[in-house]
Amino acid sequence: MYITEKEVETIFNELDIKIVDNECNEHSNHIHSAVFEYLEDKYTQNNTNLEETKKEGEALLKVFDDTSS
Amino acid sequence: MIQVHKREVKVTTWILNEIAQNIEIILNIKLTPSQIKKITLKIISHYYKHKKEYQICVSDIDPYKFCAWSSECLIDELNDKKVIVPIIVTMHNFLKKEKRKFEIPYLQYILKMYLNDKKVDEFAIGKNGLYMTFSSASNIKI
Repeated sequence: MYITEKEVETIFNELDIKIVDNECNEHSNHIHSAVFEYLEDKYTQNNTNLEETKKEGEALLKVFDDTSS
Repeated sequence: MIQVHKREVKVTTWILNEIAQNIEIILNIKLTPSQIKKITLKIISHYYKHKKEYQICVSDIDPYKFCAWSSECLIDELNDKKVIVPIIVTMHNFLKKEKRKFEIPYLQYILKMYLNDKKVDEFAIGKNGLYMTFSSASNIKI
């Protein structure tokens, strides 16, 4: 972990953003639930595959070589 | 006062770690604890600033908006435009979890358009264009 939940919580507090436990009234549609499930799985079970990330990163970094040449 | 759920703090932490991890994997840059705290402060401040006036309770964080809006903070802090690459890869990883994807040439096209921002505006997208690109793909009904 690069930053912990506790550290992020402290930053929210510094910015005067109140953290609440209870459900708020605003309707939540959870349209990105697949993303949240992936993150939860990764950060609670340490389940990760970084090879594809590396490959995509390399492909995109080529753009910088093309533009600087 | 703006309020967020405890859950949003958790999700924010996960996304920040995802971005930091991809910066290390792709650019071989390991953010220092003080850098990541400084960046987090900037990102959260920026992300929630516009919500303050509405006094709303934020019940859902938008992962695409959070990443796209992080891009300028990270480029400023690291003074390296290449940091947009791990941001785009992070957003694309999220998109793939939603069973949608771009081909590599199209991702490169998005990147080129982002890099034109404030340089060749007629061929450019900024952080909001980047957000809308991924958000639109995510919202397509198939």
